[in-house]
Amino acid sequence: MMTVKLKDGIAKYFLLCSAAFSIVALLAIALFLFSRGIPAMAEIGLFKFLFGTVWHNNPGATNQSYGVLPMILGSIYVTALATMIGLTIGIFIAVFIFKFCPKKIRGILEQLINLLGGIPSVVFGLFGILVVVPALRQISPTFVGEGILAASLILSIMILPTIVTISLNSLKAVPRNFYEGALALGATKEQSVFKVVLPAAKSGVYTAVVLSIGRAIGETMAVIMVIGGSPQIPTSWLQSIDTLTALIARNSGEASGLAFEALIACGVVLFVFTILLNVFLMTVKIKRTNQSYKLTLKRHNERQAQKLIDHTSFLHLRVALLYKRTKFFIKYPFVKLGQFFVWLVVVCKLNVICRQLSELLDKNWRAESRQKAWYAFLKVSSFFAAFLGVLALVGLILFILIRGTPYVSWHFVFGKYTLDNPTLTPAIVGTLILVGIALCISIPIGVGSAIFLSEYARKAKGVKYIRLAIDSLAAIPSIVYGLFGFIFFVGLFGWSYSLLAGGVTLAIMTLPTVIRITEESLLTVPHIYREGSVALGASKVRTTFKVVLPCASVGIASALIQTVGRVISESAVLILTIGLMVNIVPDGVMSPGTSLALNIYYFGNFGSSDQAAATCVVLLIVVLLLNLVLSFVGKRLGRNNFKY
Amino acid sequence: MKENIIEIKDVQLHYGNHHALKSINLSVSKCEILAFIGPSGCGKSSLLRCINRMNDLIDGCRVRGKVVIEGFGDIYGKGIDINNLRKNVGMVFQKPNVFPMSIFDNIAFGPRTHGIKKKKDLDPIVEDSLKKAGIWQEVKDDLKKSAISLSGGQQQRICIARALAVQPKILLMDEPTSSLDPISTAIIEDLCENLKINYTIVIVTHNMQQATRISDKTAFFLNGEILEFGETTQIFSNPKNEKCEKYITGRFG
Repeated sequence: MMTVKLKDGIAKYFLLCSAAFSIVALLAIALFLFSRGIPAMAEIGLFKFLFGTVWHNNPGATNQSYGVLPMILGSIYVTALATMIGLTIGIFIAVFIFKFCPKKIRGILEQLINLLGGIPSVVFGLFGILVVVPALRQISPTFVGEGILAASLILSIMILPTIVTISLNSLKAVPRNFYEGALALGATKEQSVFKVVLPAAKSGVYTAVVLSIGRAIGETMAVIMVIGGSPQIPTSWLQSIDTLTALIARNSGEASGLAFEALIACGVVLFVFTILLNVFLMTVKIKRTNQSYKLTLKRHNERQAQKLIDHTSFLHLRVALLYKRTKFFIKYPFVKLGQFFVWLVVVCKLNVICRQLSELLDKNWRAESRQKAWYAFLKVSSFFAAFLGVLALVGLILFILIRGTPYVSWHFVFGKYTLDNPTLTPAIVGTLILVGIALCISIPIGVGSAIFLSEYARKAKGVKYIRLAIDSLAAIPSIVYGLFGFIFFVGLFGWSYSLLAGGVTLAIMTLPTVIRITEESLLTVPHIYREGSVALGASKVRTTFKVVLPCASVGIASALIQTVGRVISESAVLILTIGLMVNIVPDGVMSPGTSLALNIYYFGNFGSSDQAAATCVVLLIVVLLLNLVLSFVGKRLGRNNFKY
Repeated sequence: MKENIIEIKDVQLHYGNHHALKSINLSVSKCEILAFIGPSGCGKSSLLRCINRMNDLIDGCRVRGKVVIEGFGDIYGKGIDINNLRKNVGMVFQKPNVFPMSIFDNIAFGPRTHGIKKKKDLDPIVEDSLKKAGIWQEVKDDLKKSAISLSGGQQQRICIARALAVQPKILLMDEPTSSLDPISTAIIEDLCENLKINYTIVIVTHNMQQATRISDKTAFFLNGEILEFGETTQIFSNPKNEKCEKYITGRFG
């Protein structure tokens, strides 16, 4: 039957194309950044650019100078400080939720942290403007408030949910018998958690660190609103400085000529840095394994288990356990594989851990009591950190709500925009158009890529390059996407500032998310469904689209919702691509416009803090609703009847 | 002497470096039930999956030798339409793998795959297949219900019905009752007896009694080789091979 073969061929070709899109996008971004950034660096002089300490690009000024060192240092300082604060508090919160928290509030806390992870960064920025900066001004009369400390504080609150979620997941992945084993040796609850379980969860904590560094260094909107924006070498914590991201976002609109090229060169620096960070992350974290590897592992384990059953009897119990474990792989491949590795590592190290513990406990009573005091301190710290972190996050939300709600009215949201009475109508229409464009592009291509990666790519050779491209796309800061959109769509394509340019850029940015979520849900579809379909004589394409894909529909739905969430929250990309036209309702995709998140920046930066807070309230309600839908869909996923 | 519908000639199978099947020769006559017995990991399922090329789905699996099926010639030869082959050689798996869709859609999936799309054509096929699989009476009133809501035994019979709906000549069963309770097992064994009239069945089983109850011929596997092959009554009453005797009597394995 030629038609079936033809169909198979066409489908595979289409899927390959969509998967290759990631590579093309990455190369395009790299190409356009480098082709303009590198000559600019050459013109300025690489050394002068990277290590020059003066950035001076006022239009018309004669002594223009493009030294980017202050911004690089600024980025590093802010990121380092934010990560340190966020990490310390975040890990303690994770430990608290994991072991010390009363069962009743554990679920609520986890939900809350998840929810807070979805807050748009521009909301944090506004919180910075309205609360953190005025508070810091109280420190000394000469201090302007904006600067390293303010930005770091805001960023540390912002990355908190990420750190807590990842650390908590890896704590949960540590097998229970470690903890029980430690307790059985006479260790206290605190000792067991801090000495045994937490070290066993180390790899997850590393991942959290690297991810939050990536997030902090790439963050634009939260930073730009509180950093101050003076391009000078940071010498004190309280100083107003600038970061790479904020510099690009602030100046790209007006800069021209070499000044603009220099900003692209800054984009190159950011790009290179995040790619390096990404490569580092890949070497640290457990290698992402594709399905084929997992299947061979499963089969291998099953065979080993069977061999043991065949030839020995006394190992029966352990084999049964191993067998049970291998069964789990099919159900939750990613989590369980991770667990299995951790389990493996720790089983190998268990005797070492036991010895250390017993030595620990054998020491004389004074050392013991000192130990106990130390662990009690750690425990109290975790309570305190949890209190502090939750207070900051909840306080932020409450503050915004209290501040903004009085100004939310029917007219404010849907009324006609006038200078005296600004409304959100243009922003809402703009946001809807952006969401539409982004979904139309990223969902088909993303789902196609995911199908290719999970169903077709097992034997293909270029797959690791596709994965590398996707991982890299996921790591690139949004401001770099914004620069790319500005050069490519706004400039080169001649779309000028338009919703189309913003929407397409956002589509590329959200692509990795769509691919990851869809692929994960495709991987949970039991292999025997595929076998069942193929055994009936169904072709590959029919098996994939009629059997496997419907099973993953929940995953695709959640990818869709998360994409909507990211598009709604994003503003750094839009500031460079859609023109920030807040007063006119856009009449089509080619029209310039604004979005809700961008409006917050606009209102916040230009003194209309009431409107900004009210917009935040609207945005938060939308995000909250999306989260509700998502958790509803997630529950459907939980109810999904994969019995294997 | 009935004519052979499957002829397996010198089949070798490797999973990576693991030599799973070592020169297997076997022939199966029309309308008989052949049982594969032997300890786990000895290659029973691997050989079964050679007969409809399901091994193609497994990475690193290589097959050498010939599997000749009536009407197809050597199925590992060139120009074989694999989808058509699998239509003619149906398979039932160890675990019931009904798709997460309605009972009707499950049964109709195969016929639809092969070009029967109209509901009025599908209705009789679905009914007929469900009747053959002995589950029509239980599900005829709620064909729209999700197949996943059925019990394990019912699901397995749905799987059998689904396999029958594409009208195969041969039915391969890979431990079809190993995850079922005794009552469901008995129902499926009865089913095999009835299906024998029209179909050739190859069944892998760990259950000796099952093999004696339903099969005409039995092949005993050990470490990728067939150590004994013959009439079921002969193998179970008077095995020639010493290891086969030990296995059957439960003294090893």
